[in-house]
Amino acid sequence: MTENKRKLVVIGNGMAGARTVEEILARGGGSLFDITMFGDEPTGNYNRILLSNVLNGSYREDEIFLNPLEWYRQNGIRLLAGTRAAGILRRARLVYAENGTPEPYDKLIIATGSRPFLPTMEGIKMPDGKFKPGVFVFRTLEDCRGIAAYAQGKKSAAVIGGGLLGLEAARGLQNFGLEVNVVHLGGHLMPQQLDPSAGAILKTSMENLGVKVLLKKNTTAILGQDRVLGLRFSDGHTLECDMVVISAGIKANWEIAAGCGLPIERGILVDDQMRTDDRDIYAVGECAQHRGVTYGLVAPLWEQAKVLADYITERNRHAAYHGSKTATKLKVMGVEVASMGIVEPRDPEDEVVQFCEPKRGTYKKLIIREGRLVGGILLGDISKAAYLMQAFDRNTPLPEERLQLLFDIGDPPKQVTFEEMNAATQICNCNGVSKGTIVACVKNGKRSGKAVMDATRAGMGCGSCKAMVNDIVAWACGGETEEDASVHYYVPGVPLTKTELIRAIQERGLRSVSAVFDYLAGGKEDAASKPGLASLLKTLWHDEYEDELDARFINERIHANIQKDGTFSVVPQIPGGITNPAQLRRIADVAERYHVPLIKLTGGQRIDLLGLRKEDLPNVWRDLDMPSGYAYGKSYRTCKSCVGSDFCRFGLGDSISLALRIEREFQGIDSPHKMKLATAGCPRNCSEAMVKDLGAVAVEGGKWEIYIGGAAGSSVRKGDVLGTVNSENDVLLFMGRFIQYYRENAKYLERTHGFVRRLGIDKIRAVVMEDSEGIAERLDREIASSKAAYKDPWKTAWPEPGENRFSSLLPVLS
Amino acid sequence: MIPAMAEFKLCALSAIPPGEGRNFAVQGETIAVFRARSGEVFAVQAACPHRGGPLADGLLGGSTLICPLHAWKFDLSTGDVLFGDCGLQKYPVAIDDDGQIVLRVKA
Amino acid sequence: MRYMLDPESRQAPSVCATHCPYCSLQCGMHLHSIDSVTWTVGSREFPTNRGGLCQKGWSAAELLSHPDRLTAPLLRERRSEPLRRATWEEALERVRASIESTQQRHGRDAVGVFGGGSLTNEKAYLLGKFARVALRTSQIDYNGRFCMSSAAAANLKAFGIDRGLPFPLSDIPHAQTVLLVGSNLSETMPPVMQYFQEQKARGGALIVVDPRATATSATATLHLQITPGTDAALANGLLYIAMKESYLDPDFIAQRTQDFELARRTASSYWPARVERITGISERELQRAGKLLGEARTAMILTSRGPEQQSNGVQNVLAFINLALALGKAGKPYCGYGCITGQGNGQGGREHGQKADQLPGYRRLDHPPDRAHIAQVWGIDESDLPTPGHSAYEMLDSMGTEGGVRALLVFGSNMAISAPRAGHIEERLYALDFLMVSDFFLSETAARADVVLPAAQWAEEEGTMTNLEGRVLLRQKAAEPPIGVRTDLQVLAELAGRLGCGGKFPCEAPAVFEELRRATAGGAADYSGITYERIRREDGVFWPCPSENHGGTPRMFLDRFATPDGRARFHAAEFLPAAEEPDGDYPLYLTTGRIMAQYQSGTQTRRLPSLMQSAPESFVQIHPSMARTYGVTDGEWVRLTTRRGTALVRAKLSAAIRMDTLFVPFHFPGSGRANLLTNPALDPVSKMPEFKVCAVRLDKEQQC
Repeated sequence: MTENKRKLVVIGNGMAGARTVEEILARGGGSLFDITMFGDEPTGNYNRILLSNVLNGSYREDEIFLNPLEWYRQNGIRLLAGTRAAGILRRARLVYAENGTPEPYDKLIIATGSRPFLPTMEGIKMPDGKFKPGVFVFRTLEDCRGIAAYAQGKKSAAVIGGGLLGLEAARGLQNFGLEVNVVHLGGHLMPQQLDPSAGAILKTSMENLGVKVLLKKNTTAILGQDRVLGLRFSDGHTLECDMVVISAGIKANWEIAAGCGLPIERGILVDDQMRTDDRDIYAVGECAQHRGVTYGLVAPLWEQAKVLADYITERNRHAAYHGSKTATKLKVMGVEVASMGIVEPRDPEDEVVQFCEPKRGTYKKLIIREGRLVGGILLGDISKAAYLMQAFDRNTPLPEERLQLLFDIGDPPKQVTFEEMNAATQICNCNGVSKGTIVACVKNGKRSGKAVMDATRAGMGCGSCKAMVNDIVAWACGGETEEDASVHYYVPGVPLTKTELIRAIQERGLRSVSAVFDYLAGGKEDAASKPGLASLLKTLWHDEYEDELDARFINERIHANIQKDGTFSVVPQIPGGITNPAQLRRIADVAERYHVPLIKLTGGQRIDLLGLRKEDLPNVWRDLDMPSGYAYGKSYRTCKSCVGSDFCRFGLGDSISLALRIEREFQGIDSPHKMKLATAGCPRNCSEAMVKDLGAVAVEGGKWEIYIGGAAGSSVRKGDVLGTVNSENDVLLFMGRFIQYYRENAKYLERTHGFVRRLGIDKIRAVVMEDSEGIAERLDREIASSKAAYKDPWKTAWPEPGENRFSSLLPVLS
Repeated sequence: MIPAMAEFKLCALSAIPPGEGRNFAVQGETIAVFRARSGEVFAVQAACPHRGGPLADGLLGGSTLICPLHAWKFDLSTGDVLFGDCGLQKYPVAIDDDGQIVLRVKA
Repeated sequence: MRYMLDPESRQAPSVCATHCPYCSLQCGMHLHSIDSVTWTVGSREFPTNRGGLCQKGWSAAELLSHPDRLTAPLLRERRSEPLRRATWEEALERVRASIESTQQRHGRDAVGVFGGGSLTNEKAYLLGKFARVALRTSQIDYNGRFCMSSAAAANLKAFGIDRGLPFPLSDIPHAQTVLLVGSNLSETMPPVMQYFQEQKARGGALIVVDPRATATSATATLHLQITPGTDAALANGLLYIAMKESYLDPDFIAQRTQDFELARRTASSYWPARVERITGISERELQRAGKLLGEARTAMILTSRGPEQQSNGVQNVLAFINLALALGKAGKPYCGYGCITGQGNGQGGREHGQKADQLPGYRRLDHPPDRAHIAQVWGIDESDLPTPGHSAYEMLDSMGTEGGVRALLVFGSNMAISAPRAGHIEERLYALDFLMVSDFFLSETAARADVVLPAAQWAEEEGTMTNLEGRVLLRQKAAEPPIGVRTDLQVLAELAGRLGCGGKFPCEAPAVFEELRRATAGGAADYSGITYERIRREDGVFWPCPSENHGGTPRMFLDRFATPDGRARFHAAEFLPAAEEPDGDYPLYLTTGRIMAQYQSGTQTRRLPSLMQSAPESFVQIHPSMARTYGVTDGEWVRLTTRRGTALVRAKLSAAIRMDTLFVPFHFPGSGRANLLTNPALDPVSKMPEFKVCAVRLDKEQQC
């Protein structure tokens, strides 16, 4: 039905023109109008707002295009790109191009935008009317390219005009390594957005960043015959520079409108429907003047475009534009600036809230009228900009604490506090226990986390909420949970937390358990505390630790595992469950020679010889001639593995070689409780690595997922992923770092799963993977020295002559 | 009338490392003897009344002993049980002038 | 007078494996019968809830023997009279007569049917068939319009099919980053949080977008406290950052999508500073969110009612879908866009013909081949099938007007509370010539009816539900309904008979399901391969499932999207301001939603003491600073006024909400009803009303 479509001509395909056409199309205008657009620039429409980013290199040119040429084609728009509209014949209802071709219209939209204002001064242009080489304005993509090209190899540049655009130009020029002077006619920078005090602070900040600012300077001439050499000012001074960018404000392009007799002031006069006084001619964007205001920002022209489109497509005949609230937010060379509305109070009733800290380059000023924000300036710290700009845009009533407007005080917490938390809020999802229930339970006298959990079933499911349950209990008890301090002691016999204890031990250089009792427990021994202290001392002193066998549990005294009948079991080291005929033969011989009643394969992929007599142990070690498997210690136990990539058709990673390396790395390392490890060659997890104290699981791309805190004993828990790493070496590095952190921070007899739950995986991950506490290097060092201190007890702990450690019965003398 | 007592020299004090215990067979009974770090010496029945655990392999702190099997706890100076439900048979024991541990039992 | 249940009438198995009556998670639960009239809920290991249940679930059994249960039909001759007990014969005869006289006087479309998202698939199916075959009216829709319709429409546009989640919940822990928009799962669907905890435990990041800090946002890596009604701006802003930081997946865009240019051009005018000004989310937070999403190997974007219940709801969702597609995070394992369905059978309820424009299996009423197939299954002439009718709000708005609906049959819905601009809807209900409501309690809507039919409850009849994952599961019957109560299926069959369509309407769930399987065969939501037996055996079956030896479809789109060419579609999803923004007269935002202890219009939950004790009455959440500005203190009564109406609620001071925003839960009746205030501005495509944002004024209430 093209024939009865009306002709819509748009002069200008800048942001205003193109946006208006988009809005018209969005309202079905495509079926109402045949659209023709004149565009000076040979390109499509791009986002002028981002020009300075192109100049400073943070955007590529193609990244800022809003309407590439194909868009015009797709939407059936005739774009006369690079064709300037020369005039309008209103009576004939046509626009004619510079080359004279006429373009009839039914409706006409003028969106000619604006151009840089050029102050009167000598030497801007050459006799041929072109700019003198080195003179630029900063307005179009062309200008950008020109500036960038000319700046190459130049030393210094001047920017005339200290407004928003001028400073952005200065930023761009500085990025080219030029020495930049900003020459400003007025008394302070960015007069549109800042008041004098803010301007002064900005000036200092900019000068600190190496940009010179000359204020109250009236440039009278651009020096240099055939290219820019400098500037001369009205006060007679001059300034040397290789190029100059003039950014002294903009001037609406109203000529074409004036040419056909439409009323003009600073721009083309329009009413609330964006109509000129010719009913068929509209003006929109920077060329238009609405209620005495012309706008140079993008937000207003988009609002105008909406109204114009609503009206011209008759989508909404009542659409009206009432003017825009202008606000800007930008970063001038690292200095963040936000400004909105008026910069000085206008009405005697206006309330001014101000904060000024020039030393730090911080300035905040708000102008409040009838409890609403009508103007504001933020400089340096603009953290409140988001909130304030919205309050300004939407006329939101402001809180009475004005302080809150300037600083982040009492802002919405990112977490609901327990006070605020709805009593019905589910804490334990598994067992459906609400905060209210827990609080009630505390009120009824259950005053410890455990007591509450037993009573309510909270945390007895997936357990993920245990920490929170404890916190709530603590909160409900007013912080006074009824657990006596001793639960925080590392061992019951020494009244110190683990951290305190470690500090004390190191300060006093205590290297033996008896010494610890003497110095830290008033000489009072505590049997139950001994093994814990022994383990800790070994962790701290490595080979400097003075071993006292009586402090060790019997297993560690004789390096075997005591059984219910007082006999012992022996488990030789079989790393990764890999053995060979020779080993198996030796094991078989030993079993026969010492009448081993039971030989058993362990869950850790090793072989357990049970029921050995104490007396026989040293000989058993000798005959086995294999290292101890530490199956008895509160220490690294073993690392099982699956077949891995060598034979398994699913294997992604070589779990066996990793298991062997892990065993070599951590064998014999003491720890608060036993550590059972595994490596799995793929996420099928055959070796159960995900439920081990530490596990490594091979995943796609040669990576390993490190799991910690798994458990498959009395409590069952899937480990948390500590991280995904790229190599076996990284697995060893981070496992070692975690082990040392665990050794130093876990309570004695606290398995890794308890430890990980207590501290939270986030915390541990931060420490181990991101070194949030800056201790990673030390942890790595410590674990390394522990490794160095390793001695195979079955080779080194043999009885001295006359020693009776392995005798279960001594002869009576007489 | 006082029951007749027999004395047995068990071993030199130095034969038992500080804080540890050893077993001795005396008149068909096994007796565990402990040398506390304080210098005191204790002698009690060798088997834990609970499940017969080898008390000599236990952990000794002061005069408190913990059985290695199920952590029953005894005070060796009195024979009383501290954790568990049955005390220990205790034997008088001393160190003679030449540093030998001497145990007395009914003859 | 308290109705005593007749012990004889209830021989229930001692323990029965079934599902929770409430939300779309459809947690598995056991019902243990203590004696013939009392049940308790027991934990049940089921893939959706892994044994967990929320407070509502634990207390669900109290509904079965609740003293307020309706156990006999109620009716009144005149509106002036109170409802009186009646026989089924009386009641059904009255319904038949009213239907026939109305249709004679005003035409077939003068009788409307209003369904609900909590009805089983069998009921939803039979209700749609009843409307089109027995009543031959085009006027049928359901309250799901007020729930998922925006996401549904967006899903169709972008992916060619509408299934809430294209992946099982168990995939969530494998997503490195999850963007959760406008959802407070910790309160509305607690057991599902297990999956997010696991995701976090595996080192994943959770970004929550919500104007309020909630129990859910408390667990998040990053909380974006967005301005109500600006979701599309946020989504476009994140896409802008993705483009700027080259987080895009060009190969995916090239091989599996269409029209990226539309999304790119739209997003290119949402640079961070602008988005900050629109959404109130700082540039820094925007950048962080962009990074978390952009650098993740696997990511999911989930939306809920927040962005959906807006007059720009479809665009909002499309904008987030654009983001997911541009990042290449769809149609791959552990990636995708998903909508978290709300109502128990919100998913199934919208698949089987309760919707004004739809036939079973997502077939379309305006698509001749679809019409033909269904007509053949129903044994009618295709030309007898009506055309698409009005959407929920439009139908309710037309009640009692010339050319509008004059008689309305309601099944399992309580519009007097849940519809927007509820005050107006209430008036329209009064304007009806005839209103029939089938429910198990005397809901606010039922109380205004001419005939009320006592319906069986969830555990008293068999039926299938389709949960948010698209998993079809079986609610087994745990108890006989009380004497005097009938199932909706029986009622529909009975009425159909009286309307001269006897024989076409089976009244036993298994028989209905068999017919449903045939009706959906070959449709988008194909159930033909699903049987009760399989559901029992396989813990539910994911549709589409075209044959009994087909394994079902837990993960969709892995090879192709459901569009004709198999490519997902980008759209130009512009941000549009809410239909009503704060101004001088109404200076604050109002948003509404659910709280932990209540469900939907509260017909069930408001009757349970345990729940009422946690959440007794309506309230408004307000920021302490803003409260001080208005001189309001905690617990004080305040009057909220919008252009639609006024509500009286208690002030609950909390720094967890934006200073410019108020929140009111919508479960409560009377003068505290949130929906007296909400704005019925509809989304042009989904017809979703704008529950989530309007402009409000707050005044201190003097005496109360």
